[in-house]
Amino acid sequence: MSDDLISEQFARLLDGLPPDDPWPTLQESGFLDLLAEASLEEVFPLALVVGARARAPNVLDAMAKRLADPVPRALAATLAAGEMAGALEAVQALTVDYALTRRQFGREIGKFQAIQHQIAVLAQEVIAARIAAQAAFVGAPAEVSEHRAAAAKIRCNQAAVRGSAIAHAVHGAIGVSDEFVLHHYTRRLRALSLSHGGEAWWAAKLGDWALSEAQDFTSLARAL
Amino acid sequence: MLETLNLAAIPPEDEALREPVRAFLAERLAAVSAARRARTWMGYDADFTKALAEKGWVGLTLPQDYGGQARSPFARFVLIEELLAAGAPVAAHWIAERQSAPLILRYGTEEQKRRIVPAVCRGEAFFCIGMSEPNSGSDLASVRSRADRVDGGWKLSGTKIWTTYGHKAHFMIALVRTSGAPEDRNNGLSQFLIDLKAPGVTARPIRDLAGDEHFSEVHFDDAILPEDALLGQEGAGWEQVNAELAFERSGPERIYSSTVLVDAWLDYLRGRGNLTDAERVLAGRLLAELSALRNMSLSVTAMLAAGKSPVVEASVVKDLGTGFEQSIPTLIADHLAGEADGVVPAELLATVEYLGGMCPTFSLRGGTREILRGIIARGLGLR
Repeated sequence: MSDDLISEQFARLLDGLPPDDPWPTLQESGFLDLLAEASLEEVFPLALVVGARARAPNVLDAMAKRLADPVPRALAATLAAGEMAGALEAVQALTVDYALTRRQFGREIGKFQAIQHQIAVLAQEVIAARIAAQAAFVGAPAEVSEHRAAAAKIRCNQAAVRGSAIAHAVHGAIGVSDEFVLHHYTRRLRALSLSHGGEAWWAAKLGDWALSEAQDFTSLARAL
Repeated sequence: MLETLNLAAIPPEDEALREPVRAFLAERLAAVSAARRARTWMGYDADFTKALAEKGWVGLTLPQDYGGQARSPFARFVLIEELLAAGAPVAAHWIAERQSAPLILRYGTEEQKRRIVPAVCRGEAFFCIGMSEPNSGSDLASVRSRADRVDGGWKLSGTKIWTTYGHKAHFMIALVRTSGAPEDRNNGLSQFLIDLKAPGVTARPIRDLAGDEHFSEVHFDDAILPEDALLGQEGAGWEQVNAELAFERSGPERIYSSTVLVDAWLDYLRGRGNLTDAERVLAGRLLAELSALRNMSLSVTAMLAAGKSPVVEASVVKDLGTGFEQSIPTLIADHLAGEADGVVPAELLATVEYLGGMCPTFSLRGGTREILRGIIARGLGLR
């Protein structure tokens, strides 16, 4: 089955889960055992799918625990980065849609340059987060690279802070209302940022490696 | 539309270019200080360009029929990454190789292509960009320089300014008005391939805040240009100049301008020892950012290699990349400010001083942040 078909099947599964107790259905689906057989390249689209759901159960954690419990921090951080990238893509879509719907001063707020430029920055952060996460989803889940995990988590955390701030600024008060969906993403982005090592923790680790290697800056980036 | 940027790997045959380039640069730049190398694409050295061209490394992606090597955009990525990371003085041929020759190949006559492009690839024809004027910067469609038809050619009047190495280049590709008035905006503009030795052309260097003379003011005082100075179609200047800007913005050169400084700082820390956590954190953050940007730039390179025109995606990389390049001098300077007097090597201080002063230009050259964000907003369907 192609990657696209698997992600579609996985998305349908998540969207159809019984809200009160999703776990038996997930168990039956076989997806929870995926990390034992699949490469991280194959798991990346699924992490995006989880991130793009406003109310997904903690599927990636459950998958990781099937592989190793406790979950190695590098694997947990990598999966978190993928989920954050998916959530950020959803935040961008919501924000563009809102900016083209909400009208003030007689036009859609997305027609104002000040708003356009903020959303352009949001889009940049989303792209950076996605490719940074993707770069960590390489090889076997049990052998995930600590340095790639670090680079991914650092960049996704930065994007989460910058991107969420812009999304909320564009949405105004409705963005923090319980009824509106945005906070399901931005609160999860905050929670994931603080899970499995924050930006400074991973940066110290990555920086320690960079400074212990006798390589130039660009070669270090290539060696990640 | 804004396409998703996916990871792209450099093919082995293009990656193989890296080692010979590194060896060449290690030898050529051994005696050049970090502060001097920090000029990178503001560093002008015609001898260096000539030596690079002899290796076949000027016009790498251009067709072999015109003196190029017909290599892929990935080979060019490897070459440029190494040139900029090492701080090679590439200014002499930079513009000619990146945008002028590709533009001439797209719009020029066969005679123009034969006359100019092989000379660019030999490292003998240097170009400058004739876009900005005293009253036209980001609002490029407001240019006032004007060429009128005269017997056997064109008569050109006007001024271009902030022209990088206009006082040293052999040629300029200039956007000028050939019909109508400034109110006609992007209608009535044309591009000219101007030999800067023509009578009536004078170029005066302008000193920058670092004491260098990297840009200039170029005057056209009823300069007479031959008929074949017209590049492409009369009146199609706006479309052509946008194609030129797409060439200018699509390469990987918007990430590496402060790399020489990062390397000088990392080497200083490695030599000094007793690392603090704050230093480790900064090094780690910079590396994570570079890694993401490099992967984004490679993804854009893959789009170029697939024959696409990734204008919006390249704008994303340029805006983020220049922000990264610009953040580095301040971040590193702040760390160095905590060191005891007299401890930090003078060369490292001179490097941070040069880049600290000049880094505001990183997000100006090739289109300001505001222009790029407008392009991205259009790609998102907001405009």
